[in-house]
Amino acid sequence: MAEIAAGEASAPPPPPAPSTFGGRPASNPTSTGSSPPSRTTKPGVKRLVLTASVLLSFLLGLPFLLKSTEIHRSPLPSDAITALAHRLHSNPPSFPCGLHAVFLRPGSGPSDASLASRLERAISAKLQLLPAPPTAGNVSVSATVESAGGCSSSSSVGSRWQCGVVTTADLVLGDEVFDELLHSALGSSGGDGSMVYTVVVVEIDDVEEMRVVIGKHRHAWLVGKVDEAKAVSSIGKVFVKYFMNGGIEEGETGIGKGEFMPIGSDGNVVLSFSLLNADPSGWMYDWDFEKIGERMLDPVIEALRPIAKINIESQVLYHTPKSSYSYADDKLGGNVLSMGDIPFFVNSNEWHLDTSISATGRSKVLQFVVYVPSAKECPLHLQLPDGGISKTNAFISPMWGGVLIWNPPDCSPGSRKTHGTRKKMSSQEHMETLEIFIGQLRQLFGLKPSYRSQDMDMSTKFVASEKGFTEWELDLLYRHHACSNLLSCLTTLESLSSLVRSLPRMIVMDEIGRQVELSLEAANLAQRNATLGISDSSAVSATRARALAEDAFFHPSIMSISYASVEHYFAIYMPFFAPVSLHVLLAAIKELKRYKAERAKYSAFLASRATSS
Amino acid sequence: MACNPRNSYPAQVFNNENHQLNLYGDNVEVDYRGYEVTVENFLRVLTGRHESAVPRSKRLLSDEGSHILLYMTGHGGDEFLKFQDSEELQSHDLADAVKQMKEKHRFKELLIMVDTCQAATLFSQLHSPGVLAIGSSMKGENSYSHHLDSDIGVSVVDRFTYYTLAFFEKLNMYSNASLNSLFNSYDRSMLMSTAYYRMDLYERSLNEVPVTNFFGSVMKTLHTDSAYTGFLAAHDDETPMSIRDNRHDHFMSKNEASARRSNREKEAQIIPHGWTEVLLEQLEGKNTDTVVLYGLGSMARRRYYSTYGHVATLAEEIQRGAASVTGVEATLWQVPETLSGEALAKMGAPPKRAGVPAIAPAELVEADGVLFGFPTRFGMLPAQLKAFLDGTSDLWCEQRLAGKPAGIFCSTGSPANAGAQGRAARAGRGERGERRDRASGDRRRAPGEERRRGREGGQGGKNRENRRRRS
Repeated sequence: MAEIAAGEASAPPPPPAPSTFGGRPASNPTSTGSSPPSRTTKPGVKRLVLTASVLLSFLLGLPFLLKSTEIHRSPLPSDAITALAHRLHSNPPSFPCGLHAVFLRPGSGPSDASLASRLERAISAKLQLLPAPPTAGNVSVSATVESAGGCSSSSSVGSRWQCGVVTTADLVLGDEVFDELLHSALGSSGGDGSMVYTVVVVEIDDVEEMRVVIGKHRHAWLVGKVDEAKAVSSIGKVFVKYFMNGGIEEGETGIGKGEFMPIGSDGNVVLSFSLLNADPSGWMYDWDFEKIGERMLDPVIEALRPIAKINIESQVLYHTPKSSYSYADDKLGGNVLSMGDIPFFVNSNEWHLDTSISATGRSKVLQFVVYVPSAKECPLHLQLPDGGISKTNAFISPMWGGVLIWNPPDCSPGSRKTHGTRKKMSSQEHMETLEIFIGQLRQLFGLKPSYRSQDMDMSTKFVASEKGFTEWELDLLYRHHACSNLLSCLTTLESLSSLVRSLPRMIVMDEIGRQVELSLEAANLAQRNATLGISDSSAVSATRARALAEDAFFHPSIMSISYASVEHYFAIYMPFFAPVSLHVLLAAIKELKRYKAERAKYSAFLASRATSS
Repeated sequence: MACNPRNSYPAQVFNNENHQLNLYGDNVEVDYRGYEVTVENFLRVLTGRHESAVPRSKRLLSDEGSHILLYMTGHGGDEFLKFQDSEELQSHDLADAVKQMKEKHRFKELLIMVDTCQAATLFSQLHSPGVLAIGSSMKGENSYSHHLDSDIGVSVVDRFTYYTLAFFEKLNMYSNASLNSLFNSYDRSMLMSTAYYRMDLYERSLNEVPVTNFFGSVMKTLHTDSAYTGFLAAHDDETPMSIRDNRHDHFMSKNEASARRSNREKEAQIIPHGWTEVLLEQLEGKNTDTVVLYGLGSMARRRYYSTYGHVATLAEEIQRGAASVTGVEATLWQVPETLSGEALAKMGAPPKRAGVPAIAPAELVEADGVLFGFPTRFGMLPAQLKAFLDGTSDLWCEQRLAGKPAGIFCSTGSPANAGAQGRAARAGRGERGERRDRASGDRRRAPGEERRRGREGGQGGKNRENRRRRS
């Protein structure tokens, strides 16, 4: 066809003026030979129609080509992402909570509402002076004064304190029991889920020294002979320092102070417990982790469920030497590792710890290692920088896990038994190691491994929880995780949306769009719950929002290298269509030109005939 | 490269013609090899966009505290690096991947080292903070190999890589050499190119950054002051007391087992044959538990075919050695003779040892470990043993011998066919020589893409060495 078109095209003349001469032979079937270069018949449109129809069919096919090579891009709700960013920036998530002060008075003193509201104002004023914690929102303060004569409260009581359930006499039962009593008096944590912390001041005249006990639920109590001003200041301190900040001082690293969260981006954590026998030729230890460990850790897992789904694994490994060297120290009675050697302790070549099968791609594995030194090197102690020996013989590495050097009971520097024996950690020993691991887990999550009693200017006691984390600590973790997960979810979504915008020819699968939508939904829910002060469900939603956002961002179909530019698109399809379509187009143009020329000739002929006649 | 059949030093990679340092040491993990080393996979590792079935070991599990070292060597040019001589990693692909890593907080600091021609151009597009990059040569410069290993026939190491390795060989674990000292150790006259580093994206002063942040496995650690005391007390009422009793018998047998094991270990050291020891260790690692718990004696079998009696003598010695170890029972068997009596008489073969029973393939299953002994006949396994081994195909189908430790011993050089064997051996060497020549292209040319990754580092950067290498 191209050939024909070209051949034809050479034949017709440039648009001739009617007056010009120059015979154009044969090309025009209707030309009259030697007569003037004008034609007497109307030019036919058959050829024009033919070429035009071929061109038209090509043009008609164009939409099909474009449609079939179109890149599927699921629309991302970028408006909703911007809206979420705006909301989070203008109004960072903060959890309102309440502080309820209860004054238990022994005698039948006056108990009028005015005293209660005066105390309430005093405490509020005190809280204004203390630095506000980052994740907590409004604090509503209320106060109750209870004595034998009766019980009066200030206007807005947050907690369900039942008057008369707890009396000062109950103190003799011991702190743990008193803790539970208070818990029952407060009516196990309000049904609306918002957090009200209660500080009970138990006034006893015959005790000079004031002491503070912080319970495992959301309350603490002060015991002793206290004047009003001191009680108010102590209440404020306990509330801000512990309930709001987890006992982490300014300048310390810990939760909310730039610590990273050891939780996988899909919200999963695997706690992998390994018992390492450095040299089994001396002795070999085994443990009963399934029986003891998992049972004891169940409450911990349950408590942390809102922020992470935790799996537990355990293994026993042999022939796992450490990679740093100890030296014998007779004064300290054993072999000593200084803290400077600890960074090299973990021997990643020989310790095949990460053998987890339940840990999937983006979940986090926290290693907890019991290192049993060889019989020759036993006992092995960690030496602190101040020269003393570590009480726990344990250390952590942030985001990695913890190591505990466990010296078997029958190890003494004198006895060098070399025959290998297979032994088992007794359940008592095993549980002691678990106690240290719980401390390490707390440390990894940014809390203190445990609280020392002299943290405040008065003697302070902490009631430990069988969950490993007390309720007020969990609140703190939930709050913190909800906030950081929401922010991380937002940055992920923002970078995904900017990535998608920057690559106009990137395929965006429907799945990604769906994940983004679900993630936004979860984020909105988390934010709503945060404003209501429901920390645990807010943490759950925030974790979910983050996991979905990460799933979308890390979707394997997004690979920048496989997206061709527009130039690439043309480079692919040009060889298929350009050779043919170019000629079709040229033929049509030339045919059109020819037709115009012929028509001009014919009209010139008509004109000349009109003038001549 | 190490496992390439054309490598005449299997499983070894050297940095020097003196072959002192095997770079492919004991603890090298190769996660991607051969056809898996593609630009796409490389970018997937960096950005973390894997299919869900990709195992953890193949991922870069870093976090916002990680220090990552990316070491790339091979063929390169202006703004690209060749992968497998078929693909190219473009500098903007690398920059894109790094940008996305930064956005997702996949690293705190990233050190990119590139040893190619015009290496500095590869990181010209980077603009993510926290990235430090060094290349062996500037734009327009070539990066040269260090020296030719005439034994292998190729240049085994590039100059930049060679001097990097030389720098680290001088350091010990506790060294606090700074990155600055590493970068200053590159001498232009030694490299024959200009090592260029780009640090406008990096905040810290190079003097203050120890090399251990990126090289070696040094963790940031914190001492645990105290246990979570009171946790146990909260559990006290439910402390289990009966756990030990339930399984008391079980422990007893295990204790006996370990007592026996320790005896055996001691005696194993007297045994003269090194490989017997290896076999015994194998047996020990794998089988003792089951063996003892089920009340069987550990049993190793030796099986041989011998015409003239050399191998039989060897086998008896081995049996004696192994039987001296407590708990190991060694039994001798011979494989059935396939030659006719007439043929044996013509060969002047002595009679078979009496008292050594012939074995049927099915009996292999009963052994915990097997040693095969045989002579050579014209440089090969005798047909009798081959016939026996072929007879084990039923066992093989059911995989009933899988996991059993096995070894071989053989005698060779019997006078009757020494000449033939000598020729065969020479022919074998000739062939190897040829192979080596063909391999020569591979050694130097295949761009060994090597990566060490810091993972799960904590802020201090615990850098686990994971080298990936093209094989």
